[in-house]
Amino acid sequence: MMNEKNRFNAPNDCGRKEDLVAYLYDEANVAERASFKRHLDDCEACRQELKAFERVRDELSAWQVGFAPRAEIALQRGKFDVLRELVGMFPRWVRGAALAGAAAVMMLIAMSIAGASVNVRNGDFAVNFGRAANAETGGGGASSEAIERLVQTAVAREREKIEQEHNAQLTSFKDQLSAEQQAQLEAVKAALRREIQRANRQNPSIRSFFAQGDNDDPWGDVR
Amino acid sequence: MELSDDQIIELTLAGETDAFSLLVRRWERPIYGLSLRMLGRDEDARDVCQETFLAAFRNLRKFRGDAKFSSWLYRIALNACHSRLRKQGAAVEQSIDHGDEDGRRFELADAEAEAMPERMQRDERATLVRKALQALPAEMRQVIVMKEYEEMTFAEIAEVLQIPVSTVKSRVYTGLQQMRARLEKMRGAL
Repeated sequence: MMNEKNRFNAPNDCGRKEDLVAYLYDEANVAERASFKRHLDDCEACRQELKAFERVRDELSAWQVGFAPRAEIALQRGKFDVLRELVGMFPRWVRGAALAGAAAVMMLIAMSIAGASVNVRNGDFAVNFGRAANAETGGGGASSEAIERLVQTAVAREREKIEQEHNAQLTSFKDQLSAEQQAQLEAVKAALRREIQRANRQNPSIRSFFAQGDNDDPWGDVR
Repeated sequence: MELSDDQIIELTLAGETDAFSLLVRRWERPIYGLSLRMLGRDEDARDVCQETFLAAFRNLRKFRGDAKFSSWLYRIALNACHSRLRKQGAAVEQSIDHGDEDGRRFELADAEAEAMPERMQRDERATLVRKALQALPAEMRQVIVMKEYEEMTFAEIAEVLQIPVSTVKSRVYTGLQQMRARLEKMRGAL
């Protein structure tokens, strides 16, 4: 009879270890199974080992996991999918407003990057581009007040030039208008003179009445 | 009709990410069981379970389908287990060999059930098995766990571990031998 140490460590030298586990777990095909069964009749070591392994399997079955916690997995969706779903939750007018807002924000960001500023003063509106102004002044670190003054001077100069052009045009129009009025006046005078002459020819007594005490001929030289 | 793993993967990759939760529900219990028996701690097993499914989701496009999804999933879980075991290092072996149960106790059912003699006897056996199993080298332990508890075939285990079937059989044989020796030793010490 084997002592305990030998029983635990008895070498299985028959070279059928793999056949033994295939037989143990019922994974041997019919032929392999029949072959190993015949081997068991002749091999005490394999018979002992098979029984021992069956007991181990029985022991192993004592450890059963009675429950499994639910795995809480936070799945990550694609950014585009999340955005599409999020946008779809809102009504159209909200989406439109959000789009307009986003556009405005983008514009402000772009202006900010360009160094632009918007001034509304005395009902006037001005957009100053800091970098452009800096470039004009050689980028020598001019203050924003100096840049603003430069821009205002340029605007004032331009406005004066436009006003001068307008005044010149107005004078020209006036002169043109006066010439036309003068021509019309002369035409009216000529017509009146002709009418007086016709009337004199019809009634000379009226002419002689008005001619008394006044040598000037008011009818003949109407100015 | 129940969708196959491959069909669920196709749906997930097509943008129906919620479909992946079906795979989680289908495989969370085996993965948790494998992790618990490999690591011995419920907390670690839960963490590995989560890590496994997150890694599977993130790398789903890399799954080519030439192996079974479950094999791929088991491989991810085992890698996570080995990573943890490496971190735990010698402390794990020491804890088992000296019978220190702090932090390694298998979560038992409610206290009322523990009072029952049959339950106590079964729990005692379970504790012995757990200790004996934890004492096995990881490469033996994983094949015993997959064979005994996950009821996988030798070929399936070989697919997961990407080793020959004969190697799996050899490891199972050696693992059972070592379990037998350790269990006998533990019972003799009681």
